Amino acid sequence: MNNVINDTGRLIPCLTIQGNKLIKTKRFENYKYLGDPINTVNIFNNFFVDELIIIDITQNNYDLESKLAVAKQIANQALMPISYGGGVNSESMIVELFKIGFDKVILKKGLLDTKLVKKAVSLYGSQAFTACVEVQITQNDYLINGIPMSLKQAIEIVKGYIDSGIGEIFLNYRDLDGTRNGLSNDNFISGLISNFKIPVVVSGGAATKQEAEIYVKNTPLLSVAASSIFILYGENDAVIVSY
Amino acid sequence: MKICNFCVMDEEDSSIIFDSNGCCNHCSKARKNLGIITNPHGFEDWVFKIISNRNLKETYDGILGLSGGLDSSFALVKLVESGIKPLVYHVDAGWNSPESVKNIYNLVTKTGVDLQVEVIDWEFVKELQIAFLKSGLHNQDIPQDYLFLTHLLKTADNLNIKNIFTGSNYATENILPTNWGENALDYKLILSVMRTFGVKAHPQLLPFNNFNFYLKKNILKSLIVHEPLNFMQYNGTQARKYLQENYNWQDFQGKHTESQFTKYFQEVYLPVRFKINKKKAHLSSLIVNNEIERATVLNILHQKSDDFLRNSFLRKYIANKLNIDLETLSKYEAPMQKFNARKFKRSKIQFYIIRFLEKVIIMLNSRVRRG
Repeated sequence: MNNVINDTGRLIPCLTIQGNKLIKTKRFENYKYLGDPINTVNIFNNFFVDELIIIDITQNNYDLESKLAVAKQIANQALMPISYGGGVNSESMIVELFKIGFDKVILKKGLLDTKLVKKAVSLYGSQAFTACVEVQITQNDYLINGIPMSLKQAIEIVKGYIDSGIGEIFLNYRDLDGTRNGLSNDNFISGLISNFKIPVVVSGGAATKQEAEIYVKNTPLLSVAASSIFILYGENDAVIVSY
Repeated sequence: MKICNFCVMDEEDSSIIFDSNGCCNHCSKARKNLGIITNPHGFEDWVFKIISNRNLKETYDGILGLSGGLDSSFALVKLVESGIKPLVYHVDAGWNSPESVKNIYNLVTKTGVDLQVEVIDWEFVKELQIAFLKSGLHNQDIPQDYLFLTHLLKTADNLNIKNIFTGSNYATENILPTNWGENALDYKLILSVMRTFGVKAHPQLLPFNNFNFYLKKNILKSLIVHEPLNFMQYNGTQARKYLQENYNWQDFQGKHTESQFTKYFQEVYLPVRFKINKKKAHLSSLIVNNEIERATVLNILHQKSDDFLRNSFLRKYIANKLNIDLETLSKYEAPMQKFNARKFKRSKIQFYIIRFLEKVIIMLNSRVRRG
């Protein structure tokens, strides 16, 4: 779908898994079962998507081994570059994820450990790491990862990630997740791109593929990650993959 | 090995009988029934009947199960182009091929119909499928087929929909030896396999009673199953071309291969384990339907092509998806000449009675037409 010259950002399907189930969340809560991730990845292979993001939100009975087993099955199936996010907080896990075939790792809690980030970046390079930032917009200010702050402070936080070597920023608009109310267009996004010239992936709220296409047009550094528009169709939220 | 003079069925089917002209029982029967079961000029009347009996309070004229394969896709566009409003229903049992998914999406967006999808818990499908593979039964498509039909009927029931539209048709499905597989709608058999291999009950496995279904369908008429493709001169080759030209429809390799598992089942499992080549039945049906020359079919069957390579890719996919290794899969495919399915319980008597009743109905219909 992308032009070779890359004058436009990417549209990246983002799949949320819990255990070995593919699910759809709404504001990261009530979910709909979407099936088996293996077959869905195989279908996306056939749509020639440029990239795929896997977010594992398994929380209860955290068991690294079975988590990685599912990740491996997915990586075996995927023919496109894939990113993995969700609970990545140790060097051994990062090493394992690259070993089983992931191309990029999304860090969130792991970002707090600056040593870990620096070590990981020295091993695999900046392009292999994305920082996930949870964004909520309040009346005048921002909630970044749940902490109230001003736009300036928010940008400062991201600067810290970039300084430690992170190559890409994933903005997760929590309140928009699964709503299809439209993508956010706030100053944080434009601020990051103009200040740091770094790739920014915006996630949450994409209403239609057309909206996402227009959103990234002429802004090569801006990409959209979405799931509803690639997986659900129509009034009944029928589960059918499209791209 | 003896092969039929008219179609390409041969003695690989142990029940085959040849007449004095060297024609087999399958195509002789199919050629006779084709004119009885199908009516090449009945479509307009049928559409008129559906629309004039329309209940204005209802949103839909009926429900159509769409797999994304040729027959159901063509049925959908024929219905919509004639002004019928179906609810399109799809059951996702985890095996959808990319083509089928693209087709479903293209068809529903282009026709503007409503789509409902039921996603079956993959962990359950996986366990059930592995149990069936362990059982060694012929019909490995039972889990999928059973789930498709029972969920369609349940949804019809929930939404008070009386008309069931299907892509089933006699024109391209007129030959299939009954000893090539167990009936897919056998709840008793499924439970028996599940019990034998320790698969736990699952809320998405709905009970199904063939007698009730038959009663509703043929006696109470609270459920009407329509096969609209039998009301036209249905021709698979032309249908495919029409869909490709008008709906950006994607072709598959082979019949019923909209499901990756069905593809594996027909192209690897049946030929390897039972020396059954369903392609012969599918292509023989097309010979009966005058879609293809017998000589062409013989050519197709002789081509070895790249099947082997494709199949090894497919086997890897199946094994990875079922989370078993290739050796285990090979064990399930082990050649077996005579297979005894008696250790599993089946609803045989029910099926005998229903089949007998159906024969009577076909006979009565043919008398009415001749009269």
